Amino acid sequence: MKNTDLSKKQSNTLTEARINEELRALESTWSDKPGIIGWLSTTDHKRVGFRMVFTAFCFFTFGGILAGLMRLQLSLPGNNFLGPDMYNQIFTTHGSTMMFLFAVPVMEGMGIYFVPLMIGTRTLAFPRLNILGYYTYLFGGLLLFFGLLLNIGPDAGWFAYVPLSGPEYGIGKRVDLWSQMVSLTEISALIASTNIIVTVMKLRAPGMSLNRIPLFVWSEVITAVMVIFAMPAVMIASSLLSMDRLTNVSTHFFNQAEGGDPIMWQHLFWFFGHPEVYIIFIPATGMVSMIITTFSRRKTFGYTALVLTMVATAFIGFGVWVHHMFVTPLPQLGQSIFTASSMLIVVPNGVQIFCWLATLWLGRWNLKTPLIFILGFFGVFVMGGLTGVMLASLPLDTQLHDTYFVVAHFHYVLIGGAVFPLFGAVYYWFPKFCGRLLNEAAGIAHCILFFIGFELVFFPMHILGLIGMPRRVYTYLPETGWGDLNMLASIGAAVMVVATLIFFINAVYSWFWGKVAAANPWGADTLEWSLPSPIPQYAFQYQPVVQGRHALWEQTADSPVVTGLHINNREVVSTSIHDAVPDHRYGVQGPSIMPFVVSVITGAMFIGFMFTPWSLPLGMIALFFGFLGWFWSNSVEHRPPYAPLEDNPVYDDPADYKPVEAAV
Amino acid sequence: MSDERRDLELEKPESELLLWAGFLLPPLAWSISLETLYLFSDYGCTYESFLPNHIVSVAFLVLSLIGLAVAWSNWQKSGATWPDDSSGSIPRSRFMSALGLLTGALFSILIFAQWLPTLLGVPCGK
Repeated sequence: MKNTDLSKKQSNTLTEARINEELRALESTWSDKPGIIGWLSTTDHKRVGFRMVFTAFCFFTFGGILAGLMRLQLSLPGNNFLGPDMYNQIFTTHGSTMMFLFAVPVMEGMGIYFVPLMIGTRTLAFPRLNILGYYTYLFGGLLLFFGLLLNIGPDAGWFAYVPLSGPEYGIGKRVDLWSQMVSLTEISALIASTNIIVTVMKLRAPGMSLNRIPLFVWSEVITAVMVIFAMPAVMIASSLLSMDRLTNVSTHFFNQAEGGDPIMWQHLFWFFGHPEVYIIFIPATGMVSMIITTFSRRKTFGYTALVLTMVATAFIGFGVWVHHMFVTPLPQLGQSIFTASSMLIVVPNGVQIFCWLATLWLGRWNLKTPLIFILGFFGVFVMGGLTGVMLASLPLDTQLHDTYFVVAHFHYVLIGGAVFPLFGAVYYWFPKFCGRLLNEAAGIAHCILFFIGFELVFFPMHILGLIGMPRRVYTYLPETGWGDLNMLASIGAAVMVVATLIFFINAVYSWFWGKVAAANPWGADTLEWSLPSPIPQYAFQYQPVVQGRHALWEQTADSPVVTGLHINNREVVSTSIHDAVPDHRYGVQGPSIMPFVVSVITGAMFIGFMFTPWSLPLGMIALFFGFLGWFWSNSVEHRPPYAPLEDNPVYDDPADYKPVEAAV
Repeated sequence: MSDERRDLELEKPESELLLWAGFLLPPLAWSISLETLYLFSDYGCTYESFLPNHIVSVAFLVLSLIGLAVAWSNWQKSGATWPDDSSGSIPRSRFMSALGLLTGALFSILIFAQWLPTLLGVPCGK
């Protein structure tokens, strides 16, 4: 379906002068304030989403540099390029960066950017909250790297096991930095999740009933629900740890000598930690579904089954955490129960793979870079899934626990399952960011080199693990025989660096000088492709009325659109949860500097908590005034956010009223 | 039943509640059974008494199957055909009930699989 149909339709019913007048009004209504204050106070979900993705890629680069340093250190036996203390800081910061500062935020960022567009609305439900989430994430990330630069980076692993991270062994403020970074970034994740859930449930374009929601949107909603259940566990755990460590609080939650329980830390951490893997992976499956559908040029095979697999994975993801604790003294019966769920989680994932293969099998391929990355994803992720089944087995896991086999497994799952689809998604959606296409030849070179480099780094780690090389050692003796495989892995890391450099150079070059993209260069089916590239701040001149699951492919010249929204206020149509029937007009708040102020107070409160418990009550008082300012000045001209449709109904054409549902 | 009557029937709040029940009851039953089984595993291994585990497994398996039955009933009410992407409460109900059927089957198997270690009789072989 041509993406110009919507504008044709509009031009049939409205004069060009009126369209231009409306566009000017929308531009003015939805634009940010000028200057640095405007930049800091934006509520445009596209700007916030892009900042989140960009910042996450910056952290990805820093985390990658740390990985490169580790590979340099391990390339030779007995190497002293890095000392043990620096190595501990580096592997802890690498893991924490990739999990907390890259993988989760980048998926959220993509959701913040594309979910509203895909469901045919102009904004997230809580735009000010959205920018608050970004700043708390940024401050959390800066805190972690600030520590590393001052040689006081956390050094107890990304999971900060007690007692190593407790007051007895965790020296200085290292673990406290990690702990507060966790709190800040998880606040950000919770904010993004709340926003995405409410937006998808209440702001979908009319006609987008539950059975028509794009799979990427489903993936973001399901992930958001997971975040809401998973993140509080780690926030509570890190807060309890902070209280254990704070000398003038000195609780003993994890201190066995005083009746605490160190195993409780592992339960709390892994109750978050394993779902975290799916929090990263499920949005990537949404990206895979979108890319495969577009580049197979056919409707997705097994839509219902794909939604089921995401829901099932999300649930089961919460029932496998004990497999990280198989070598702790837990009852074997309990461990066997978790073996069952850890093995059965491959069922929904397997169904997913077959649905995608069927879509590819039945489609007509358009073999561009995004699809090539997805083919790489299949190769890598399936391998990671298979070693996951191996590790779900209690006896095998007992042998392989804390060896490089586990390192190989989770990198196959996380890089294969998330980074390959993410790169594919960046190549796919890049035109929407800047109006230009990424270079295709450089993209293919990036993909092939990244795949080869990845296999060189991580395949040998399976063998290293099987022959006994433990994780988290800064060096090893020549007699162990691990040197050759480690050297091979380090060469692979260099290849991955080259591949990633090609990507960054391509991105910078294409941003300014790349081939100009049409609105829908790939012939895709979702609503964001009906918009010009780059997308105006108001996004849709008229919110569309959705005709089918593949919205653009099923749009016709006489498809209805939503009219009747005030163009001088930031308004969108709110619809019912199940069938997306128009319900009321929803006015959203405009830009404000207060989210930035609140995030600064929040950051100061958490950083202060590393030194004194008084920072909490003082911070809360300051936050009270921050929120007072937030809600005091409302740029929606003090209108109530709820406006019943009866005042000015949402019609396609006021002269020819029919309910939107009937029009569909 | 005509489509119009079925449409009206499926738009009632109680029908929507049943759709969510059919969809969510099996995974919720599994989640609670997992936590409860884990809670009892220490007791079972200490006192070599696994009756609580059997009771929990059976009870939540039944609950999950009830969810499956509700989804089946919803699916029948919405026309008993595989969901497509047309609009309205009937296709949407088919979609949600089909999801319920699939989750019901999967999570019932999962509850049974987690009962197996106790059923096979070697649960504390340290």
